[in-house]
Order: sequence, then structure tokens, then C-alpha cells
Amino acid sequence: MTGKILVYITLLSSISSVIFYIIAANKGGMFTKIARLSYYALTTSIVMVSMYLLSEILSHNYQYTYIWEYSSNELPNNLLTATFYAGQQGSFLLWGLLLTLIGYFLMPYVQKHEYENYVMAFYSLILVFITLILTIKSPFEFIWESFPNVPVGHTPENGRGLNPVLQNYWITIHPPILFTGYSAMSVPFAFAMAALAKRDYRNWIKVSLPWLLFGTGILGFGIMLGGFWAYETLGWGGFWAWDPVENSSLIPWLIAVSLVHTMLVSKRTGGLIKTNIFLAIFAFIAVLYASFLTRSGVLGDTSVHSFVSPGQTVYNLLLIMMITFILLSIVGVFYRIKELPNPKSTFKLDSKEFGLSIGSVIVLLIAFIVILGTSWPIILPIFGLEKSVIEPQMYDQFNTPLAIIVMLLNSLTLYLTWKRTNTNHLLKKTFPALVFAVIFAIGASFLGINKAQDLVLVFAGFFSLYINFEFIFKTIFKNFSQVGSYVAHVGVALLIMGALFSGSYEVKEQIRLEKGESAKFMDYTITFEDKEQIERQWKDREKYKYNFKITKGEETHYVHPVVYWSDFNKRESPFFEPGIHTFATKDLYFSPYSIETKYKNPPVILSKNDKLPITIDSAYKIQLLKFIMPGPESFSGEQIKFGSLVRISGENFIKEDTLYTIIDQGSGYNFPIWKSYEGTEFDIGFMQLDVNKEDLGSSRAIYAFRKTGGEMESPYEIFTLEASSKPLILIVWFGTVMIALGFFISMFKYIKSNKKIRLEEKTDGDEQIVFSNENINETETVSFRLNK
Amino acid sequence: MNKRYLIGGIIILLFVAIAIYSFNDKKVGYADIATAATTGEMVQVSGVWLKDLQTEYFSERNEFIFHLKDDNGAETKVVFEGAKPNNFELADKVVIKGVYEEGYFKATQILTKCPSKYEGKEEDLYKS
Repeated sequence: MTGKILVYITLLSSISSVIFYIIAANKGGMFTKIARLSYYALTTSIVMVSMYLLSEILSHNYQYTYIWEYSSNELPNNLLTATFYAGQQGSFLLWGLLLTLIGYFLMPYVQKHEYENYVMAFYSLILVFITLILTIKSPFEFIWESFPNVPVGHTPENGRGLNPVLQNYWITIHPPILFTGYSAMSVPFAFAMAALAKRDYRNWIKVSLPWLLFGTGILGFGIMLGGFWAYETLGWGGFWAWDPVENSSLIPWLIAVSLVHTMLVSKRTGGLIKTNIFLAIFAFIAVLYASFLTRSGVLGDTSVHSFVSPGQTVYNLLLIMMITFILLSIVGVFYRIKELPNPKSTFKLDSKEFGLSIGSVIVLLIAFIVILGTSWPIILPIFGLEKSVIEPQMYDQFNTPLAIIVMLLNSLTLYLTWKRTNTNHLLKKTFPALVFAVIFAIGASFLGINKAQDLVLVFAGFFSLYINFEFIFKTIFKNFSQVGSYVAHVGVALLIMGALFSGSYEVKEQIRLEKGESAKFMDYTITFEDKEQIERQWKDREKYKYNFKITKGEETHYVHPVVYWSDFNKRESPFFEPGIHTFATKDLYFSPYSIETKYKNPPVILSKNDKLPITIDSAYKIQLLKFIMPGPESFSGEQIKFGSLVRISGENFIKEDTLYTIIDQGSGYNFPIWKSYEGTEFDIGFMQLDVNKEDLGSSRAIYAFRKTGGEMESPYEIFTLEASSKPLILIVWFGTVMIALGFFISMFKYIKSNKKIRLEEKTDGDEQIVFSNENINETETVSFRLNK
Repeated sequence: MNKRYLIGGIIILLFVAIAIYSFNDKKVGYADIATAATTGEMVQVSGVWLKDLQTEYFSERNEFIFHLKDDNGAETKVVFEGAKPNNFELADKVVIKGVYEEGYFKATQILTKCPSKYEGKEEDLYKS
């Protein structure tokens, strides 16, 4: 009950927060205080809900369906904590929790910037929906509520456990970071709506920019952590597969990136007022759309991420939530459309603002391609067409040229100046970068980059790297906080080039090895050495680390793919983890395909009257004549001695004999009684009876063979894997980190400059306009004043 | 100003049109086995894995063979160029992408749906 009551309190306090913030927007004063108290109540209660759920998870209270479904006694504490958000209910709670916490820090900030009432009203409205979903799709449902036939009070001894695929540290970090990103995207939205409500179409931009930068940085980082997870432990072979779930998180990020740039233009020129409002709304709607796509089950059969449909109510709620916010935005914009400023500024083709705007459009086009492709199976049926899906290659095809333009623009634009640029100057200044990029493109062509488009991409990439590094070096010692954008641009170029090299120029080959055998892969010799059992302390799994030796001349490395069997799927088939060796210039990636257990002289399986060669000496054959039903003398304790009559025949040899196997009912194991035959060099053992319960007559017997008096051979394993070499994949990860870093540096820059503006407003009301000669070092104060 | 917007708009519309056109051209439709067999086109078929029929991976030629019953109840042998996907046994629904050739479905991709991953069933409650 506690959990459910707490959830209702969160819902009520979020509703109260919305209502009182709306009243406060008109009446102010006391109502703001009530609204704040409501928000504090919301914060307190959702934190308590989360702590309550967590403590119930940690104490294994399987009376809750949610906890029973995702956790188990065997999980270590860090993974138990992660089961908090392993399912839909918990992930909604995580989203709500992070949203609330971000709002908690947002509140004093908007208070300072005189935006509190409207921003917090819209912000809390989002929380109303999330908490509403939590009341319906509750993590606190008892098992007897989920399953009507279960007696009230029943407590399962153990939970079903977490899918072993998810059992690693990535699940503890990837989802919270991703959801922080999603949550942060609500802030610019709330600001845009507040701007419409307040009729303040300019100021919100600089105030919300640090939040947007934070959200974009962390969302991008979260997305790529998912990619790294897929690459490093799930063994998907790459970090990005254009899967709908990946795509749906990428869409808001792309829109946010575009928004960052249009906001910059707006800050400097006063233009793009409507664009900013539209994009801030759009980025948030894209977050809602992402959660709709991944949670409603609409893309059920197009994604490798399996999400089951959550039930009609949640499906409807998610849809209603999305439609509500879309309608709200449309109404908001519609009411203000006439008075929205329409600055008559024309961007000259050679101006910085034009470069930034075009860049934003290109990024939006990429977003559009991803939206269209991902939504394709949903869009078609709406128009009465047959459902179909997009081949993932389509994304590469469309986005590669766009990526080239992005990289050219994110460097060239740095040399453009606001208003207009001296074009002669431009050529002179970018000439070294051009030469540098051409040299590297030519170099790349010798290294095997053979498609024209790829060479252009390499050219654009190095052009972008050169210019952005140039700007980093120019500014880093003068004003560190200015380098954010350049650092992010360098990251983009590295990421895109890394994706091209590691994806389009990978070498892969299927390799099949017995223990001790070697195979060639590229210049390397790969040897399957042995395996060792790991994680022995866990009884629910049998996990092996395989040792593969890679040699090339004098160099020797080891790679360790992992194969394990888990109770989660009743050990029916193994789970795999790739083995990776990272070199500076490439990764060698070993993705297991299958593991087979074989015998040199395999046992034979016979039905009645079947006759097969004896594998150890095929001059002889064995035939099953009949089973001998056990008499009373066959039973001793838990053991049954079960016999079968066989005929062994060879050249000048024929013998009928009864072979026995001892069935131990306690352990379920069978033990053969080995028999040897004069004149032959083998023993035969009746290993096992394969009972056919429906038709006892067609039961089968398994016979194994060994050298007379020898040991039965132990089985050997055949490991099949896909070996691949992924050139320069390292720069993908490096680029990702730089992108995130760039956003955070910029975030601090704007927090700082916003503070400065506020301080200066207080100290002097002087509206003097200052121009700086170095366009890249102009402070943001200038732009703010120009806007006024 | 207006002219520039117009040109920009036209370029974007053109891009959109090209995107839609080529998406439509390269799409992979959903079909049942019967349709897949008659058209011979690249399609997606969803169905269930027939556990009792041959299900085997041949590492020598990297082929995974199993049998699938589509949503209309028609059955086919499926030959997939690749290994058996993780979680295959757990899946209660399988989506295959590929072409129907003579006598069997040649799959290039298998998607496995595992609701068991997310939803418990009542009978599981009583297992210790």
C-alpha cells in the first residue's frame, strides 16, 4: 500500500503544482509559495517512492509483481539496484524521478530569471502525465492483483531474474544517463511555452541555453554508451545498427543540436525567433515520441530490442500525452502568431548566421530521415498502405552526403563573421586546411579508401579537424570556456570518420576451430587454446572464458570471448560475449557464433531393429534387438538396472549380448556397464535410455564405445566465431567523449556569461554597444546588448 | 528574402520527395509465406518457431536451419545465413526477413521477440 499511496501523493502534488503555478502567473505572491510547496511535496514523495521501491527490491519482496519479474536472490547489489528500471514501470519512475530532480534545481534558477511561474507550470504538467502513468502501470502491483488465481499473500521464493544479457555494469549507468538527457530536454520546452505565455520571445533563449547544452551533451553521451554496450558485451558487431530504439533516441538529440545553433544565431542577430520556439517544442515532442515508440509496442516486430506492448491503457496514455503536448504547443503558437516578432533581417550568404542556419537545416534533414525511416512501418498503414520497413543501409546512403556538408559547415562557418564576410580573406585563411585535408584524402586513398564519396568524407573530416583544432589552439589559453563548440566539432568529425572506417572498411571472416587448432585471419594466426570456468560462485550459470591466442611475428595477444549457459533460459542454448583486442589503429573483434561438442567416435542412437556401424571400428555393426524390461531383481535402492539385447556383427563375427545401464533415480544419471568382446579391440557401453513416454516401443538407446579397457574419450569442442578487424574504432569513442565535453564546456560558458549579464544589469544601466575586433572572442554580453 | 525561403523550401521539398521515393523503392514489406512464395520478393514474415522440427546450426557452412509457422498457419523451412540468434529458444515470436526460394525461405535476418523478458507468466510463480 505504502508505495501506491506515495505514487498518488506524487500525482496530486504535481497537479497542485501545475494549478498553483498557473494561478501564480496571474496573481503571484502567495500562490507562488503554494506552488513551490507543492513541487517540494512532489520532489519529496517521488524520492520516497523510489527509495521505497529500491528497499523492497533489495529486501527481495516478491509479492510485488514488478520485483518478482525482474530481480532474483542471486543478483549482486549493483544489479539489484538496476532492476529498479529494468521494466517499463520502473523506467517511468526513473524518468519521473530524474525529471523532478532536474526541476528541483531548475526552480531557483528560473526564480532568479523571473521565469518561475510559467516554466514550472509547464514543467510540472509533464510530471502530471508521468505520475499518472505510474498510478496505472504501477511497480507496486501485487502478484495476486496481476494474476487473479494467485492466493492473496502468496510470496514466491525467488524472482524470475534479470536477463543475463543485461547483467553487467552497463545497465547500471546507461539508462540513468539516457533518462537524464531525456528529462533535460523538457527544460527548453517549458521555457519556449513560458516565452509564449509571457510574450517574451527573446530572453528565454539565453536563459534556457545552458540547460539545452546540458541536455544535449548528456543525451548524446547516453546514446553512445548504449552503442558501446552493444559493441563491447552484447556482441552486435558494431555500435550502431539504425535500430528503431537507437533511432528514437537519436531524433531528439539531432533536433537539440540544431536548436543550439539556431539559438546562437538568435542571440546574435535577433532573428529565428519562431524557429527557436518551434525547435524547442519539437525536441521535447521527439522525446515523447521516442518513449511512445519504444514503450507502446508499435514497432514490436521491427526491432531487436524486444518491447512487449504495455496494455491498451498505457498505449493510450502515451498517445494522449504526446497529442496533448502537441496540441498545447499548437494552441500556444497560434495565440501568439500575430505578435511573434518577424525580424526583417536578411542573412547574407557569406555571413556567419547564414552558415549556422544552413548547418541547422542540414542536421534537421538528418533528423527527418531518421524520423521518416523509423516511423515508416507506422506511417504507411495510416495512409492505408501496406506495412513495410526500411533497410538500414538507406540511412547511411542518405546521411553520408549530409554528414559531409555538416563537417564542411562546422569548420567553414567559424571563419565567417556575423553580418558579412570578406571572402578573399576566407580563401586565404582556409587554404592551409584545404591543403591539409587534400593530403589526408590522398593518403586515405592509398590506405584503401576507394569510394569517391568516402574520400570526400575524409576530406571534409580533416578539413573540419584542422580548422577546429586551429581555433582551439587560438582560444584555449586566452579563454578556455570558448573552446566548447570547437571541441564538439572535432568530436563530430572523429565520430563520423570512425564510423566510416570501422563500418565500411572492416574485414571479417568466419572461423571454425577445434581446441588446439589454428587459423589465419589477415596477418594473424589465431589459435583456440583452452577455456576456464569463471564466476563459479554463481549456481545459476555455467560461464567459460575462452582463450584465443593471436600471433603475428613476434607479437602475441590473447582474446577472451565468453560463452555461458544460464538458468534464465533453462540452459537450452548458450549466451555469448565477444572477445576484443584493442590496437591503436584497430580492434580485433571475435564474436562467437556457436559452440559444438563433438566426439571423434560418437555414440550411436538406436531405435529397435536399427543397425549402425560401431564408430570406433566400423568393420563392426551394432543392432538393437529389444529392450529387456527390468524384473524385481533389477531394483536396488534408487537404482534400476535396465537391459537391452543387441547383436554385434562383423566379418566372421556375430554375437548377441545383453547390455545394461544403471539408472540412478536420485541423481538422474545413467551409468553403463562396459562389456568387451574377444577378437575385437573395443568395449561397448549402454549409456542411456531415451524414453518416449507416448510410445514406449519407439524409445531409443544410446551406446558409446571405447578401446578395450581404456577410458572413454572426452568430447571436444568446435568454436565458430566471426573474426573482424575494425579500423580506427577507437576514434568513435574518443569523438563521442569530445562531443559531450564540448557541450559541457559551452554550458559553463553560458552559465558564466548569464551571471555576468545579471550582475552588469544591476550595476549599470548603460546600454553602450561594444564591438570587438576578434569575432571569435566577442563576449556574449555584446550580443545581449545588441538584441536589446 | 522571400525568394530565398522559396528556393530553400523547394530544395527541402525535393529532398523529402527523393527520400520518400527511395524509401518506398527499397522497402521490405510484410507478407505471409504464401505471398512470399508467389512473389519471390524480399519480405518480412512473422510467425512462431516449430520446436519439434529440425532446428540445427551447421557451423561448416554457417547455416542455421529451423521451421516456422506463419500467422496464417502455413509452414516453411527457413535457412538463415548465420548463427542461431541469442535468445532464440526464449522467443515466442520470430520475424524473418528474406526471400522465398524453391522449397524454403532464405533468411538474411532474424528478429526474435521475447516477451518473457518483460512479462511474467502465472505458472512461473510456483517454480522455486
